[in-house]
Amino acid sequence: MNLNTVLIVALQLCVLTYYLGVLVYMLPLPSRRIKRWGPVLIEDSLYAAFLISILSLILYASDYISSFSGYTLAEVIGYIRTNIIALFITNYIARITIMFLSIIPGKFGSLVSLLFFPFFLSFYAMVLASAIALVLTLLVHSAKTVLVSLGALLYSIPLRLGRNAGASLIAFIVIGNAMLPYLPHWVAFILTSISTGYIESISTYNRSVYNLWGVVKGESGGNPTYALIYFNETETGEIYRYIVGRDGGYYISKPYNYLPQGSYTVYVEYMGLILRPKNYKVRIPEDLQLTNNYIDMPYRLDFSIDNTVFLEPQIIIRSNCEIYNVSIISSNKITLKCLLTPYKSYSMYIISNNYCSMEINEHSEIYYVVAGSDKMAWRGVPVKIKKIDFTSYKSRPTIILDTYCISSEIIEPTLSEAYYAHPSPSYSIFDPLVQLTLLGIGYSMALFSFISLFTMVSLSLARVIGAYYPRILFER
Amino acid sequence: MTLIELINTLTTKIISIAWGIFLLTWSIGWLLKGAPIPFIRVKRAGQDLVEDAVWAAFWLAIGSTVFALVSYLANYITESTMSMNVTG
Repeated sequence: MNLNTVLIVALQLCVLTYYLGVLVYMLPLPSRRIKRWGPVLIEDSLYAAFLISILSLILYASDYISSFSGYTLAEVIGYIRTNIIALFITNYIARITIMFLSIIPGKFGSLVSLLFFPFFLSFYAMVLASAIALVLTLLVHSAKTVLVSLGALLYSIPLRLGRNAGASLIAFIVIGNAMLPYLPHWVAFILTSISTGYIESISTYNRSVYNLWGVVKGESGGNPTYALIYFNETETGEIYRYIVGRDGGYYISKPYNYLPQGSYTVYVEYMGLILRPKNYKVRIPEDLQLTNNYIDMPYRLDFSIDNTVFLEPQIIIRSNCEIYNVSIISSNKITLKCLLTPYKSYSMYIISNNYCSMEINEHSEIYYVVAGSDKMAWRGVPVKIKKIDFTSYKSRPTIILDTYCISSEIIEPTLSEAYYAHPSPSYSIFDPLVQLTLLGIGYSMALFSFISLFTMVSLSLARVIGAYYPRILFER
Repeated sequence: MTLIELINTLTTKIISIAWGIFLLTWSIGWLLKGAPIPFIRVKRAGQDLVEDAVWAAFWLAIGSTVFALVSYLANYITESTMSMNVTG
């Protein structure tokens, strides 16, 4: 009997139920208790027939949802299987090591078995949880169509005899097929949370930690591209260093990055310059601003740097006059307005990568002289520095600058090792052991909690599609 | 005799029995309703029987149509959803 036959039998049973309902409806009995079954049977049969007809659609929807996980059921089976094998191998290695060491006179064997104690503690729970998850996944993977057809058949038996069982079976398969591919994500999520929570709790000495992001800006709103931002703790001397990205933002996000509460001095390193922001003294958390932009970084802290203009690509203009207005006329011409004392000497630095250079336009309202130029390298980026001394007859002169770039490419500095420099927390020898045990228990807990979520959802679906007392396949 | 045949035979039998019972119920209903007795409850019961019988006969008559409609609807939903997802 193939599966199509099962579905046809189920549909025929629906037809039978329907006519049975009609028959009961027209019985010449004045008893309401019996005749009440008439409409119920008719309704049931139509509902069951509809459900069976759209069964392929339901399975399709289930597959569709599972496809978002990026795993197939076969891959999940492989994943759990690999985990079980890894557990076995670790167990064998541990036991064989202990066995060999116990041959040597002395207490080496017991010493090593002491070391492996945290692993053995969680081994059985891990294997049990993996095996249960594996069996469920295998069942859904290999018996999907058979069990769904069987469910449909049970569902369409007249007088609601198999309705609970049928609905429960269909729900189990549909939900299992949709949910089980998410198992690796769930395990990873729980293990990362446990692990980072533990690391955080032992590494921050009971100080609260904050995750934040912010934007580094110059005058006119331009951003540095690929800079470094340093947070120096003024009391403990810890230095936290983060990358300011291509978009001018720095992101101190969970789980591995954070700033502990405290007061900091902040500076920005860009193109070989150390730039001090206007608000370079910050107190965390007092100066943080709560935002909802990112889940893993609830706070925002922006920095702006005075008298400094950041231009694309990788050009900085700095001056000791007070720049108060910057307008970008075109891609190769900008004007600055500066506040200064007339006939006093000022200087301006133009720093760029070696693709670009800047000249002062002759229509500028200043007298100037190029005082010097230099070349250097900043973290792999060739940097050109030009110093210009100038003076003006006006107190608010307009300075026009022409840009010449042979390429608008941004040279990415090598900042790979510069992510963050936490003070190294004082780990004790027990911390890795505790973490190992936590991960072992966490893994089993992740699997069991996933299975119980799966149970709850399939029970609810069974109730939705018509089971009054839904049961699950592996319920005792 | 396969299982499908068994169920089909059963269905056919139930349909014929149902037609028979329809006539029976309908007659009994009219009999009670038209009986020359002054009990309003008996007459009401007769009325109910006639009504039930007529409704049931209606459902009986359109039985195959109803299932055709259900399968048409289900097919329509399935086809349109799946083709929508394939193309979009």
